[in-house]
Amino acid sequence: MAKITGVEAVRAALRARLKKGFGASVIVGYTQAYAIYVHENLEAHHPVGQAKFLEQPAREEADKLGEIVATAVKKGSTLPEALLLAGLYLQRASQLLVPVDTGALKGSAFTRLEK
Amino acid sequence: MGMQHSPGNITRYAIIALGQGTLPVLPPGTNLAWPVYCPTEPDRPDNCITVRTTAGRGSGRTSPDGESIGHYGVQIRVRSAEEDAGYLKTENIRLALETVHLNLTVTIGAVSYKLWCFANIGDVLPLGKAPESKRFLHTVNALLSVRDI
Repeated sequence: MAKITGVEAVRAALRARLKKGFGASVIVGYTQAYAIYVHENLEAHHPVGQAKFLEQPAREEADKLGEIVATAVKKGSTLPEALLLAGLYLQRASQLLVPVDTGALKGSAFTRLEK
Repeated sequence: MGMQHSPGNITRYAIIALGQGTLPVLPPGTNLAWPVYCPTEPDRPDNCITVRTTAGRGSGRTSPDGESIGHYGVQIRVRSAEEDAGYLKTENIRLALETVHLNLTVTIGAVSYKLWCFANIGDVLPLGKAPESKRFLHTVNALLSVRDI
């Protein structure tokens, strides 16, 4: 019967890598003061974009975001770095949906490490 | 049989069943406190609740029958003449939704639904005043797990 060795060592290395950034979190958002109003107002019609421009991709891409984090950690990134990668992906997906008038809202998107 | 009502409408009846709102009655102006609408918010009364369906989240399929599992998105929007009243009503709705756990059935017409739970219930979001009406707006978002019975 085939036997695989060294699995515990790999697990231990991954656990150690994750422990380094344990508790890390990333924020994706928009700095414009009216961003939350535009995001939540489902009554408005937007010629370009839509409401729920952050919540919708966050829900639809939840599995993909997890995959990005897992892949990055496996390739040697720390957990904060991996979370930032996922956050940037979400930001990009969100900016494709955000309503555009002057471009100020779209331009105010950010991703940053919270802690 | 399958769902015959939108998740927003089911949530509307859940809010009423939880004692946080009332069914609107005609003619307008004779409503009880905090009528709940779905999906269109009328101009009157000032204090009202409107529920809408939003994007949900899929959670894969069960094994072995392959049934799709997911949660439906809902937004609960509270409009009020006074800021405090709106915030408190939204917070009370949020707290009431957290109590739902396989213990709520709502009936709309001839169809009954079993509500598993409301998940990922967000914080109360104050949106300020609606530009056109100057009334205060608050929202809370959640995911609903439900099945027709």
